[in-house]
Order: sequence, then structure tokens, then C-alpha cells
Amino acid sequence: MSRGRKVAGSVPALVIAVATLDYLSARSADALGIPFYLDTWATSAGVLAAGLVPGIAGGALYCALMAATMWGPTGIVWTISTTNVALLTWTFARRGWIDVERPLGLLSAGIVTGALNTLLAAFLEPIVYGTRNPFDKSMLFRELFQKSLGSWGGALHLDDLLVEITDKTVSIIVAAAIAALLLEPLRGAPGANAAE
Amino acid sequence: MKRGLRVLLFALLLILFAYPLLAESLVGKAVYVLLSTAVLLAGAYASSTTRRVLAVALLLAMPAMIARWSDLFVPTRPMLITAIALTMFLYTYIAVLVFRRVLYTEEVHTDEIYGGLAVYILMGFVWADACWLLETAAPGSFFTSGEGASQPIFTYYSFSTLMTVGYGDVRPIGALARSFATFEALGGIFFMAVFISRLVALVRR
Repeated sequence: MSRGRKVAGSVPALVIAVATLDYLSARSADALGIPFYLDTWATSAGVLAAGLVPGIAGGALYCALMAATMWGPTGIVWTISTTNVALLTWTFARRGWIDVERPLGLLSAGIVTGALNTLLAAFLEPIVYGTRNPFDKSMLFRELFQKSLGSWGGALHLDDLLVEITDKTVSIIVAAAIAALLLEPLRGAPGANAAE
Repeated sequence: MKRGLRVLLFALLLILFAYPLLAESLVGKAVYVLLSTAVLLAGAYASSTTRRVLAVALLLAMPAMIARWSDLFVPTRPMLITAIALTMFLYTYIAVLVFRRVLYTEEVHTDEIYGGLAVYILMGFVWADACWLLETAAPGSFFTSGEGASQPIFTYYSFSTLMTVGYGDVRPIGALARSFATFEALGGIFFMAVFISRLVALVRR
């Protein structure tokens, strides 16, 4: 059996692993009081390991788990957001940005993913929730932004942006490191980009 | 990695210059954490010679980075202790890898000199974190002239001890704090002796 077939044959297991790792990571971050989501690194790693569709499937399964246990029906916002992260990871991987040896590419991918995800949430949340759904763990910065901007809405957006950029940068670096460490030896080539 | 050591040294010098100015406000603390992140990432790149080692270093850097940023967003005592401990661990890991690289090099280039200087500065930061951790766990281990226990105070104390300046405005009082001071001063002198003798030996070859 070729290496490519070995990877392809383990796609259902990979989808379940992606969902489980995202779920455990998100619940741990929540339990430890960490002000980041940390729930997309496995989705990104899944995209790097097996391509776009398995990555999206793993992310969607994770969101279904979270919707069933925590989020409820409004989990649709985060399902779209996770799909967006998978799409962006795939795009950046194709461009060669997601490689441990390209620090500027990794940082750029993290910053762009965080910024676009903030925009997406800002667009979707009022439709799904009827209002913004503020993340309640970074009040210090929100108060600072409100003082500088004089606007609660603007402060919420800036606060979301800061949290998302940090969160997605960490997630993409972790995904790239895992790809270099675990997936490249399996695939037998550097880059681990299954984005072709 | 190419240019990694000079980026690491530059980030360390920047943080060393800026730390007393960045302690007071939230924005200052955010800039400090940003610079710390640059040191963590530059350190991971500078200390790694292969993709696998780099991937491990980046994975080790992430918990420290998350803890640092979390402490900025949600400053709690457990988060602070976690952030200090993880950063100290990672700085030590980077310093050991870079020092090995400097020590076992066959030829002296500017990169080796940058690396040696970076290790010396990292030693100062590791001891600063160790002292801060000790004071957080056992308050009263240090006399701080009424300025309280903060990272800038211990960074200042650590570097004056490492370079055996010893101004005396911040000083160890507890038994463990005094042990730390002795080992730090000794480590600073030994490091310089080993580093310079190694450079001289390589140049004379």
C-alpha cells in the first residue's frame, strides 16, 4: 500500500481525531480560564494532513459536538467560522505560507485568518443572535478601547480582533509544527501540504 | 536557522532596553508581552538546526505564549505563576540549545558571537523569572525598597547580580533567594570565562 493510500484510508479516523482534539482543547481552555478559544488548531492540522474536505468535516463534527453540549442552535455561527478557518488554511498552505521554516508566512496567515474571522463573526452574529455576542474574558482591553474610542460597539470589535488574531496565530503555528513533526514522516516529504 | 541568532539578540536587547518603560500601563504591558512573544519565536528559530527540532521548539513555545497573553487579558495569580514558569522553562531550553551550538562550532562567525551574547542575556531573564517566581511563591524573600514585586524589579535585580554589580537597592533576604544570588553571580562569571576562552581557542586554531 502506498503512503498516499495509507493517509487516504485513515480519513474517517482523522476526521474524528480532529473533532475530538478541537473539542478537548476548547473545553480545557474554558476550564482553565484561558481567554482564547484554541479550537481550530486541529481543524487546520487536519487540512494540512488530508486536505480541505476532511479538515472541514472534522471542524463541522467538532461544532456539532459543541452545539450539542454547550452552544445550542447558535453554534451555526461557529460552524461557518470553523469552515472559514479550514478554507483559509487550505489557501495559505497552497501559497506556501504554512511552513514552520517561514515564520513571516505563519504570522501573516495567523493575522489574516484572525482578522477575516472577526469580520465574519461581526457580520453573522447580529443575524443569528440578534445582537453582538461579546467574549467576556478580556474586559481590561475592552474598557481601554472604550475609553479611547468612546464607543462600546467599536471596543467590542477591536477586542474581538485582538483575541482572534492571537488565537488564530497560535493555532496555525501549532498546526504547522504538528504537520512538520508528525505528518511529514508519514507522507515522506517536507511541506505536508495536502492542499493540492 | 539563518539570521535567527541576530534576530534573537536584537529582540532581547530591545526588551532589555524597554522593560523599565513598559511596566505601568496596560498598553505598556501589551508591548512587553509582544516583545516577549518575539523573543520566544526568535528563540525557537535561533536554537533549531533541523525542521523537527524547530517544530518541537515551536510547540514548546506555544504554552508559554498562551500563558503570557492570557495573563495580560485575565491577570490572575495562577496564570501569572504559569506564565513565569513556562517562559523560564522555554528560555532555559533555548539558552541550552544556543549555547551548545556556540560551544561546538568549528569556526567563529558573527552568528556565534551573537549567540553567546544572547545566551548571556537569556541567563539574566531566566534568573529574573526564577526570583520573581520565588517572591510570588514565598513573599518576603527579597527586599525591594518598597517598590513591590514586579517583573521589572526582578529583571533589574537579576542583571545587576549576573554582572556582579550589586547596587543593593534590591537584595535577597531569604535563604533560597541568597542561594539564587550566589549561583547567578557564579554562572555569569563562569559563562564569560567559558565563552571567551572557547572563542580564543577557535580563533587560534
